[in-house]
Amino acid sequence: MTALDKAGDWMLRLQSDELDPRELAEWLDWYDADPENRDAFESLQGEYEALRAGPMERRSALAQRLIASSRHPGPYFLGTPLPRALLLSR
Amino acid sequence: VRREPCNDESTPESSTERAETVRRLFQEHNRALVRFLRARLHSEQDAHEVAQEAYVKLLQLEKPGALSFLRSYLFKTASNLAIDRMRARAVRHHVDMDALFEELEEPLTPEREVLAQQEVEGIAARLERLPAQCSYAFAMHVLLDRPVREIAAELKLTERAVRYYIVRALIACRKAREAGS
Repeated sequence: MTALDKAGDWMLRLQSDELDPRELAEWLDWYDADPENRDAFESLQGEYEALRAGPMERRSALAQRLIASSRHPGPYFLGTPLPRALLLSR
Repeated sequence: VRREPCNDESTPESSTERAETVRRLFQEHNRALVRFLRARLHSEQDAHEVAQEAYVKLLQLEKPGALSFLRSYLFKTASNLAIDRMRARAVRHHVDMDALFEELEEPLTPEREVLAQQEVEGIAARLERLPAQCSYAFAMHVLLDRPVREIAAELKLTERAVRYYIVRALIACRKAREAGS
């Protein structure tokens, strides 16, 4: 996993209502451990916020387009690679 | 009696010491605190405001503990304040304030509209090349605010797998934006 992968995973975990203090402390340790981690987190959070900025109509139009195309997937759909660990862990 | 400088295990007693402890917490953790609150609130301005409220609560503590305790307390307090703010926001949304503010917003100029549309096209084109689950999970969560837990249940995947797909899509968006700029 790259720093960006971890940063994105942490960003989504921090949004959860079920985040517990132990997880939060773990994130703080990770965030403070390396400037690369911090940069990756802030970069991906910036991307996330930029995508959500602007009128709701545009977000909704993009969402509808992506949902429609995901319902008519190409040859990728069945062969989507997913690391084995992700199938088992929370 | 000579007082030792505040360390991680010391217990601040006077208001001066408490202010110094809060200053240290601010210096060492404010950046992370604001990022944490941005993840919860999706708003930089709200994150800064809630962080300030949390520091004020910290200064008002009658029996503050060690610095390590105060860090946890700061994040816990901020998290609770963020929940209060989200509830208040939900009430606002209920009376349709968002629609009101949207009307008051300055409309995009035609040039900016074209640029925004091009950016959306670039992002959509790149996301459509990803596996279907990626673009679906991304659209549902990032664009339509659906919780990861619900997407996982719908797709019969673990939450971690759904996060993995969303992150792949976010990284693809970042690359698309970098390529376009």
